[in-house]
Amino acid sequence: MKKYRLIAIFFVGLLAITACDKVEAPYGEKIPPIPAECEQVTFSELNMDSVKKVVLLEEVTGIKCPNCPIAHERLHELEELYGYQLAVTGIHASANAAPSNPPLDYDLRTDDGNEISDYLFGQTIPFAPTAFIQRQYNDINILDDGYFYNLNDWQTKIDQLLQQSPEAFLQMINVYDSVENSFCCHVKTTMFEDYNGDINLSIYLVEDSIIGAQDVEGDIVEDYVHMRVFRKSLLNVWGVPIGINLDEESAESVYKFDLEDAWIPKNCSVVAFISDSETREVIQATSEHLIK
Amino acid sequence: MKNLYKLLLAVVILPANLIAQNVQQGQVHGNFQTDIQYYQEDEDIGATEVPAKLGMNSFANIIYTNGNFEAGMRFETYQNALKGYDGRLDGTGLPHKYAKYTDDDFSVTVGDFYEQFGNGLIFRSYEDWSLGFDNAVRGIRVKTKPFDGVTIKGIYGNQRYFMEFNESIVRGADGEISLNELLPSMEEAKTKIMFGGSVISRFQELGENIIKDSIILDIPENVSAFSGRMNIIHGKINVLGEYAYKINDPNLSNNYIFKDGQAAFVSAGYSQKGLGFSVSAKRIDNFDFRSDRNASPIVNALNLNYLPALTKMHHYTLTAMYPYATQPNGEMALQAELIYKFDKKTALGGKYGTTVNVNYSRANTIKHEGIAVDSVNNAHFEGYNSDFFAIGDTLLYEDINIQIKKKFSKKLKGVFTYMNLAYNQDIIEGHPGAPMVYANIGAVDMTYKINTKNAIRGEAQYLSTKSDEGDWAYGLIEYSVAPKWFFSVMDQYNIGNEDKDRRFHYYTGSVVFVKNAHRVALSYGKQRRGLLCVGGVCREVPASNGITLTVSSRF
Repeated sequence: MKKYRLIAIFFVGLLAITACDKVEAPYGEKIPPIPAECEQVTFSELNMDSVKKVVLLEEVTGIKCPNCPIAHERLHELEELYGYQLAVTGIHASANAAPSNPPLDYDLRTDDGNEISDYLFGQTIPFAPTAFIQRQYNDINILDDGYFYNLNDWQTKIDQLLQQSPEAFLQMINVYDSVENSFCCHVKTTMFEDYNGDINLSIYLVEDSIIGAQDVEGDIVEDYVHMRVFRKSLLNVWGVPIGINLDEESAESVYKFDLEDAWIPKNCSVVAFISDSETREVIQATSEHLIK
Repeated sequence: MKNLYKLLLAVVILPANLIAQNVQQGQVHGNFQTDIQYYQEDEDIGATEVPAKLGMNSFANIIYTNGNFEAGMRFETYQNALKGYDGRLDGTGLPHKYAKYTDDDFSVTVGDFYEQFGNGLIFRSYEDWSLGFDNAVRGIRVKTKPFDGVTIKGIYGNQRYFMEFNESIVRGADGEISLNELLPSMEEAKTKIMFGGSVISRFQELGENIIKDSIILDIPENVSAFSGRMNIIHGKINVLGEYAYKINDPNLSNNYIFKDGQAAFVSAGYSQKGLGFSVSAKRIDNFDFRSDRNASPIVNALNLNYLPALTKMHHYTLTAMYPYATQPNGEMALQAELIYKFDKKTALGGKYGTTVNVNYSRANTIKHEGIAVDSVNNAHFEGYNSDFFAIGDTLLYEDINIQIKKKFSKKLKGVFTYMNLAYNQDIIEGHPGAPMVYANIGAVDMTYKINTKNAIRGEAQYLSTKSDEGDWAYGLIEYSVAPKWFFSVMDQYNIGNEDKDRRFHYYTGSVVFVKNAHRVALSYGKQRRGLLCVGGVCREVPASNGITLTVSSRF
C-alpha cells in the first residue's frame, strides 16, 4: 500500500475520534444573587394615572440606507408626541449597515443586533426604513407579511397599542459609578393581570450622538448625528426569566454592568422590557437615561 | 436602459469568449450565469419600491484540469442581490476556490468543497443557486480506497456563511464498505450489500452565557452526530436505511434543550420495465444541526445536515404553490409512489402507451411528552420525551396526486394531473393562527407538434380552495421553434379571492433563446409572493413586477 494511503487513513482515523461534550444534569448553575456592590434602592409608589402602555419600537437602520434619515426625523417626532410611552432603539443591521468605502467605512452593527434582526426578519429582508413594534406580527398592512412595519404604518400601530391597558408596568433606577465606569440597574416589574405564559426581562443599552457618515437620500453627510444606536443586550439577547406572571405579583431584578470604553456614559440610555419567553412578543417597556 | 445594455455586454461577452483550451495538456472549462431583475413598484401586489431599480446575482465557475490535478474558483457578485435573497449576499468576491489531486484510490482537496455522508442526515454541504444557499466547507478533504470495496473520507474546516466563513470548526469522517467488492466470494452475487458509518463534530466556543430559568447553561462546545446506513440491492428490489444520532445540542432552534436528537430514514423500492414502486418513511426528532448554535432557524445558512422532504417535486405552477418545508425539530413522514406504463396497442395504453404515476405523501408532527419541572436537577431542561414510533396529532402536509402522460398521435401528447392537498400554513410558513389549506388542483398540459421544428404547448390549471387567497386559475401558451427559440405568455389569476379588489392577474411574457451551451431568457410581468422550495429547503419569493433577464453558458 502506498505510504500516502496510510497517512490518509491515519488522518481520517484521527478525525473519527472526535470530541463530544455530553452534559449531565443539572445542566448549569443558578445566576448569582444580587451583586453585593449594588446598594438597595426604593421604588416610588405607582401612580395609577401614569401607569400606561409603553411601546418598544426597534428601527432597523444603516449608514448606507438613504431613506433612513427620514425615518430618524419621524422617530424624533413620535418621541416628542408620545413621550415616555415610546421606547426606541436603532439596530444597525443588514446590508445597509455594512461598512464600505470611506467615509462609510465604520461599523455600528453588533452581534446582538444581527441576531435580533435575523430572527425577526426571517428570510425576508424588506427595504428600509422598517421597524419591529412590540415584536408583533404585522396586522396593519397585509402586504407586509412578517414582523416588520414600514414607516407609514408606525404611528397607526403605536396608536393601536396605546389603546390597550398595560398588563404590567416597569420601573427602572440606574446608578452609575464613574470610577469603575459601571452601573447598577434596578428593574421592578409589577403585574396587573394574569399572563398566560412565561415572561423574560431584557435590558438593552443604546447610545445617542454618535457622529459618523450617513447616506442621506443619495448624499453623504459626514457629520451625521446617530441617535438611539443599539449597542448591546446586557443580558441574554432574548431575556432572562423573571419568575412571575400573575396579577399583583412583582419582582425586583438587580444587575451590575460594565460599560465599554468606547461608550460615552452621558449619551447612554437603558431600555428594559418584558416579553413572552416563547413568542418573544413585547409586553411592556421602559427607557431611562443612564445619567440623569 | 443604456446601463442595462452595457452591463449585459460586460457580463456576457467577457466570459463567453472563454473556450475550452489546451494549455500544455491542461484544460479550462466552466460555466456562468447572471440573473438581472428590473423592478417596478406595484402596491397592489405588494411589490415594494427598489431604490436601485435593478438587482443582480451572478456567478462564474472557472476550472482548470491537468491530469490528476484540478483547481477551480467561483466568482460571485450581488449588486444588489435580487429581492428575496438574504441581504448578506452582498458585494463581489471569490468565495469558492480549491485545488484537488486525484488518482485511482486517493484524493485530497484543499480549499472549498462540497461533500455528503450517506443520505446527508448528519452532513451534507452543497449549493443551490436558486435558493441562494451555499454551505461549502473551507478546509481539507481526504478520500481514500485502501482496499477494493472500502472507501474512507475525512473533512476538516469552517462553513461558508454568505460571503464569509463561520468560526466554528467542523470535522468528520465517513466509511463505506461494499461487500461485493471486498469479498471475492460475493463478487458475482446477485445481492449487492453496502454498509456505511459516519461521524461529524462541531466545535464552537461558548461566547456569551446562555441563561434559562435563572440558570447559566452549561453549553457543550463540542457537539457530535453519528450515523449508520445499509443498502441492499437484489435484482429489481432496492432497500436502504439510515439511522442518525446527535448528542445534546442546545441551540436557538430547539430553545436550548439538552435532549439528544435522532433521525431515521428507510426506503424500499421495486422497479422493472414499465413498473416502479417505492415507499419511504422517516422520523426526525430534534435534528436541526448547524455550525452556529445561535443561528436563526428560519434562515437557510450554516446547516450541517440535510433532511429531505418526502414529497413529490411538483413542476406545475399551481401544484407547486404550497410546497412542504422539512421540520427539523420534529416530523414523521411517509411517501409511496407507483409508476406504471400501460403498453402500447393495449386498451388502456392506446397506440403509443400511457404512463400513470400515483403518489401519496404525508407528514405529521411527533409526539411530545412534557417533563415535570425539576428545580433540583433541572430534568425539564431535557425538553421533552418522545416515543420513537408514536405519530403526533398535528397534520403538517398531505398530498395525493395522480398524473397521466399520454401520447395521442405523432403530433399530440398530453399530461393530466390531479392533486388533493392538505397544507399546514401555520407551521410550514410560520403564519401563526393561519388555518389549514385544503385544496383540489387540476392541470392539463398539451403539446402539439406542428412540424419537425415548430410546436405549440398549452397549460390550463385550476386550484380550488376555501382557504388562504381562494381559487386560482392559470393559463400558458408556449410556441417553440426548435432548437433555439421559445416564446410564451402566461397568466395566473386569483379568481376566487374573497376580496374582489384583490383578484389580481399575474401575467408574464417571455422569450428564451438556446444555442448549444448558451441560454438567454428575457421575461416581463408580475410575480406573486410565495415560497420556492427545493428538497424541503425553502426561500421566500417576494412579489415583484418588472423585467427579468437570465443569461447562462457553459464553456
